[in-house]
Amino acid sequence: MPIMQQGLAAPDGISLVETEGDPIISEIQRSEVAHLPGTAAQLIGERMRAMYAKLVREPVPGQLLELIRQLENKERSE
Amino acid sequence: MTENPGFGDELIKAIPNLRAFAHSLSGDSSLSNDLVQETLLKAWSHKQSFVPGSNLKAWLFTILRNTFFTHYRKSQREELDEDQAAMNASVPATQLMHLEFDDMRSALMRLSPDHREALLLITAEGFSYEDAARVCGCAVGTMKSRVNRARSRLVDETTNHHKADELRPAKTSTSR
Repeated sequence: MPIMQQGLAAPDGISLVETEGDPIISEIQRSEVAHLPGTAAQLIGERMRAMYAKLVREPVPGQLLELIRQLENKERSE
Repeated sequence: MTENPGFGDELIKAIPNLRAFAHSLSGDSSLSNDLVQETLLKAWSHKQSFVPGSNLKAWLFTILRNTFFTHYRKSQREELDEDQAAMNASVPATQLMHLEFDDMRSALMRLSPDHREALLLITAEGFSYEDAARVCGCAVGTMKSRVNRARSRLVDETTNHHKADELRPAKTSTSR
């Protein structure tokens, strides 16, 4: 098993197995790629990246940082 | 097993992207903080199972999306999602060129969660199709299909509304 696969093993025990994987999908996706209006898709991509970048720049709540520090301190004291 | 002296710092570095993904996926700011907090706690308690040198960000995103889908399935059982879907459906789509953040968020929320996360991971987070497929536990072909379908859906939706807007009188000055 590749390292990446091991590293991504879901720790919460939730099954990631999906039933999709139909070989027909590759045919569908080829035709969809061919017909997607390039400019519109590009615009949507730009808008989405801009929206996402704005969210990434939002200040991180102190409680999340505090949580990590508490976990570190707890581990050090053990 | 392994000592991870900088693990906490690595988690802190990942928080902004985890929050952005959680917010975009759930469409709910306060839920996104809960999801990130749960993700951090799970990551910390299972850090021994993380393989050093592998992709920490992808590992964290996997935990986050699994946590989200657990919440999502639970809310489906409680039929809360119907309220959310009704809310999302009531938001009219706008012209593509004028898509603002809120409009984009609304359009995203009208996609199925599978399509939404695929588009976010590939288009917004910049994951490779291979890594995104591993995060979602699906085949690479499935991931590509989801992304293309999600893009097509958004394009169709916005293009249709654009055409509808053009038919409305005195909306825009289109002198041809």
